[in-house]
Amino acid sequence: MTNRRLGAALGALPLLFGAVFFAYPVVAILARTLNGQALYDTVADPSLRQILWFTLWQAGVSTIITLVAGLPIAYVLGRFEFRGRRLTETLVTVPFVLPTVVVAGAFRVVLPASMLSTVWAIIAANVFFNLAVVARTVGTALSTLPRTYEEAARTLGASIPATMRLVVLPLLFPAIATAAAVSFLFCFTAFGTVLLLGGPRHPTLEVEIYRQGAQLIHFDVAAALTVVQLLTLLVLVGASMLWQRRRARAVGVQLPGDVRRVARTAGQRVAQWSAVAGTLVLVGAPMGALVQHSLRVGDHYGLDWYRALGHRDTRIGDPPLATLLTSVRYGAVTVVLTLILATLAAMAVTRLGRVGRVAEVLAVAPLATSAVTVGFGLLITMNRAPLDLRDRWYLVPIAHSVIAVPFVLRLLVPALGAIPGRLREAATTLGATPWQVLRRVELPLLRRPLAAAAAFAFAICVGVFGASSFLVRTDRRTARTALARLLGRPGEAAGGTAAALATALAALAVVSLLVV
Amino acid sequence: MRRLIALSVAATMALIACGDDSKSSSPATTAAAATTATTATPVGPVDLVTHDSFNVSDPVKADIDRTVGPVTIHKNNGDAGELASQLILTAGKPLGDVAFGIDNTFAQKTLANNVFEPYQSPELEHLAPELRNLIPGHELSPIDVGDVCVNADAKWFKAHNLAVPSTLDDLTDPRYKGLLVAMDPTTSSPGRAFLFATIARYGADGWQDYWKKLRTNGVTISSGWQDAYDGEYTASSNGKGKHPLMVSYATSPPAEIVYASEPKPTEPASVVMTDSCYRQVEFAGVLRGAKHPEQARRLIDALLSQEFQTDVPLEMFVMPARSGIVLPDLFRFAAQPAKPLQLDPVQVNANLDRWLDAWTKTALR
Repeated sequence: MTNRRLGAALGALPLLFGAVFFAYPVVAILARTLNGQALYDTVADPSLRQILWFTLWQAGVSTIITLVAGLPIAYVLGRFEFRGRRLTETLVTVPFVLPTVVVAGAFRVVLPASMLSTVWAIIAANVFFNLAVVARTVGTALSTLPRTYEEAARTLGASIPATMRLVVLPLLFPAIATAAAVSFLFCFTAFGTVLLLGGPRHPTLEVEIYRQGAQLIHFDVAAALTVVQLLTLLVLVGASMLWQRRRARAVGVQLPGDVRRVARTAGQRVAQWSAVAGTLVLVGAPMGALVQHSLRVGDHYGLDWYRALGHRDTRIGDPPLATLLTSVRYGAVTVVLTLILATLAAMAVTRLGRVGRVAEVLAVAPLATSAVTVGFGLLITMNRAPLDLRDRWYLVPIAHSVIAVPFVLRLLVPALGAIPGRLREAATTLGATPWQVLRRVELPLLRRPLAAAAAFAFAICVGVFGASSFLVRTDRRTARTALARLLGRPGEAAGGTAAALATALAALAVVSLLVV
Repeated sequence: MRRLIALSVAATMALIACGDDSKSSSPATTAAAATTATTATPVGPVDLVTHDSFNVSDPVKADIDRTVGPVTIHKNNGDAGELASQLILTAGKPLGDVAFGIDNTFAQKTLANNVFEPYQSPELEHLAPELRNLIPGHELSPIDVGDVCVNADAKWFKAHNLAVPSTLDDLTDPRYKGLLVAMDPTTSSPGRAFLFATIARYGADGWQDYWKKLRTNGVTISSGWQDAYDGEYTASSNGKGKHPLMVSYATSPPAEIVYASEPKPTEPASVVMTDSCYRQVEFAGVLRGAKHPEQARRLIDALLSQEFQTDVPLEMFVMPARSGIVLPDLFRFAAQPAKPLQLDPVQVNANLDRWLDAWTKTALR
């Protein structure tokens, strides 16, 4: 079997999955609700230009700040070995797991009042969430990047800043570009944080789609806005990906065990610990506020709210503790499904040349399509045989995988691209079939990126708002739903129990992610 | 690596095997599924689709399960607006048999999209006359009344030596500058109701001026009721807020006591400004294309029954639509406005978009 045929065979399953659970629902809902007049009116509306510009601007600024804040810790996690490294890595990923309602509440406590309901609150929350993307993506790339080039530069007399600038950053370019693209996508399509922290004066495109579709019931306007959002993002991300491809280099891969070293000089130690401390403060402040809220009972501290996690309440549904387990179950299934599909897709895409590159760009579509639209699409399509899945529990992991697979694909393709052709060629010369090259050369080298991907897929399932909340029946027993219901109730008890549940969720995520 | 894959596959299969069957529900329904020959007419399952604010106490639910059939409640993780959008999209191929939670803002839109089947329940006779025929074709039946009114933190006003404002006009008085928090009508149901109240009071030509005055007087606009309550209102349980005036419900004062931490106060801090009240009615209806239409009709009867209507105040903090229901003692603190402001539902449906647009330009931008 040739490489191309293998690529096509590998890509068949992810393609089918995407077609059935993403393309079909989205095309169905757009066909039903989109019309030319609405599209024209929407595009011609001057307030759209303002909303679009605002969305682009806040996403861009958020991404830049996230990169600046995330690169130091990425370097430390990728290059240094120290006690607590895995824990730090995991803690940085926890924000992803926290539902946006919880984060918004914590931020309201942590941020100064003057920042609330301004764009800076939105940007702060964006940075909080996406730090994990930069830290883990770039960190993983760094952990497999051989040190030889840096060492050569240093031997030749380059200073540390010059080495960083002229050697390390260019070599890291694909990973940084990927992290930037994914962060930008998430910031652009952010919903919960924008609505809750930005207030009514700062709508982004996604908020506007929600408003038009789910509150004002102007399906045609929502459809038109979805198309505008999708095309804008595909053009932007596609352009960045094509540009990135031209500059990528397969510089070789080493195992992280060989790349990471213990910090030796005092300078290295200072750099390492200050990056870790700074990041933990950034990420830890809102989480600390959460933990504090969960322990405060009236005017003293206690574990009352944690005890309440075991009680059943007709209004909330299952006892909160049970919802945690449900969330973890959904998360685990999502992880397995996502990793299988995304790995197949990544390997297919890297073997299919130009077709692969086009497929890569199109694969971003689920991240660029409004969750409202995807949710509505699933609502109207998953209701008759052979797809009568509206009542089935596994529609939830499927809906989450639709988001997670493109994300993980963006992590895996550069990782695969970093494997030098020489390695594959060497294997082939020694008699390996394309299938064996895949199994014995590529997969082992993908272990670290796959672990990071698993963490994100899990977090996305547990925390992110997304299309599954429009599925009506099946998502109602998760921790996220329980949290939304608790936070929708007045009273100290409800707020405290919500904080306790969120803390328990974060703790559970840390434990699960450390195991992976 | 191989072991990892094998482990994951095994774990997945284990998880699928004990996968969550969404049809399983609370213990009450499993008990009711055991057949008992109590009623002559057959009982059968029925699916109720609603929003997150729907609640019913366990004993009442058990009774309904026994007399009508096992009711599975599907809450949509959202509010009335999202519910309306979901129902309209799935009209004819509905998500259940009965939908509860469409209010008078969205009622016309759902009727225009043929979401419901007409059903005139015999229990409608027991409703107050003005509610009975709100929907002449009876596609929707009024279940509860949740008037939206401005709440005032009386304790705060007393402490600051200010008289509690009593009319909508008072809210533009400079004495009360910066004290009011209202919600964005494009994303909040009570926010919308307050907007309608101002339109009903000042007319189609005068309401925008009123909002300009409110804006000059420093009104704060929040995205949703929850934000406003947790972050802005002074009488809510965390007390971080700086606004003693908030657009809320006529039934918020008793809710304040119920949700307060121990020791519970005997009186609420809030009073209701009845001059600002806008009538908000919540409906239920049989969905067109329902799989269990007969059960659906009987569920509507059950929702209008004495038993359920008596349960309504403390479960959902709204007033029952049925007349003659004895209210809980705490509800002496709730307002029952004699003449709440109202707008014609057809007029609302026809002008909603224009009004919301105009409001955004006047009050926000």
